[in-house]
Amino acid sequence: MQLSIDEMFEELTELTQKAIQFGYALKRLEHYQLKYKPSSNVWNIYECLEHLNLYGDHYLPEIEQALKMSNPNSKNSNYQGSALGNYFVKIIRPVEGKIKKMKTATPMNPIAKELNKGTVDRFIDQQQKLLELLEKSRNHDLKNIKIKTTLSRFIALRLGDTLRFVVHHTERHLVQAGELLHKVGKNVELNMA
Amino acid sequence: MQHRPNLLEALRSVEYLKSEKRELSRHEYLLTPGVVENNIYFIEEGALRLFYVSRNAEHDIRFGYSGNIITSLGSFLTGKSSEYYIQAIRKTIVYQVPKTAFFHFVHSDLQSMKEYGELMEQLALQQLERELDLLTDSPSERYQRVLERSPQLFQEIPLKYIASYLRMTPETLSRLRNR
Repeated sequence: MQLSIDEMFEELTELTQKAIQFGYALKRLEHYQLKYKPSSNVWNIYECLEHLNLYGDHYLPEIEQALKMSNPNSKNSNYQGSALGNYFVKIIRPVEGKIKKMKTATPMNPIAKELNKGTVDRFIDQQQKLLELLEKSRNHDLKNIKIKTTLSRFIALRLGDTLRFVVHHTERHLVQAGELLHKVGKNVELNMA
Repeated sequence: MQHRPNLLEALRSVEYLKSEKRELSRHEYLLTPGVVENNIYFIEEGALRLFYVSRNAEHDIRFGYSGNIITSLGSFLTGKSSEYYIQAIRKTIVYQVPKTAFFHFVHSDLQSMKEYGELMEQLALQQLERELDLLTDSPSERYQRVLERSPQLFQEIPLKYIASYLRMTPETLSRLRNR
C-alpha cells in the first residue's frame, strides 16, 4: 500500500494540530467534568489523555533520538508501510460504528493514578513536540530508521509506521474523549467534589 | 441622526451589541459540550463547523461561513450545556455578541423584534428542509438537494465535512460529484 509522502504528512500534521486545539479546549472545562466517569470501568477524559501521555513518554524520545542519529535524505516521494506497521495502524484507528474494546497493556493503563489539569498541559506539550518531530521526519529515511515499540524492545517499526501509529492512536482516544464530553455536558448536576 | 442598524449590522457593532471581534486559528474550538453557550456569533471571514461525536466518529450538523450567524442554539436559548462542538475549519474572524446584550437589543425596539422573528422563521424553514434531507434514502438525492440550495457550500467547506453532513463516505460523495 503506497502513500504519497505529502498526503501522508498533511493528514498526520492536521490530526496533530487538531489534537493540540482539542487540548486547549479541554483546559476550559472544570476538574469535576474531566474526572467524570459514566461507569466505573470506563476511562474519564483525564485517563484518555494520560494513556496517550504514557505512549508519548516512550515514543517521542525514541523518535527524537533516532532523528538525531541519522542524516536527512530527501529521497522520499512515496511511502510503503510494512505489513506489521500497516496492521497496527489498521487496528488502532477509529472506525465509525465499531467500538473495538482492546485490552490495554498494564504499563499503559492510566487508571488509579492521581490525575488533574496538569495532565492536559502535558498532553498539549507532547502534541506540540510531535508536530516538531513530524516536520523533521519528513526529510529522513522513513523506511530504514526503526523505532522500538512499547510491546518489546525487540519489535521495532519503521519511522513512517511509528508516526502513523502514534497519530492515529491519539486520534482514537481523542474521539473517545470527544464522545465522553457529550455525556459530561448532560450531567451538569455532577458531584463537584 | 444615526439610524438604528438592522440585526445583521448590529452584530458587528460595539455600541449596540457590545460586539467583540475575535480571530480563531485553524481547528480552534469556539465551543465544546460541557460548556454553556452565552454568545452568538457573526462570521466575518472564514468557516466554522458545528458537529457532535458519536459511534467513534464526528458528525457534521451545520456549517457557517462569511455573512452567516452561528451559535449552539439549544444551549444559547436554554442555558444548559452545549450539545455540540463548534470548530474553525480555517483561520476565521467572528464578531462575538453576549446573550444579554443580544436580547436587550432585540426586545428594545419593534423593528428589531420583527427582525428576530424573521431570523427564527428562516431557521425553522431551514430545519424543515434539513428534516427532509435526513428522510431521503438516496445518497444521490441528498447530494442534489444540498447542491441546489447551497452551491456556495462547495466553495467554502472541504468535501470530507460535507460528506459527513450528507451522511455518506467521502468516497461516495466523490463518485457522485464525478458523474
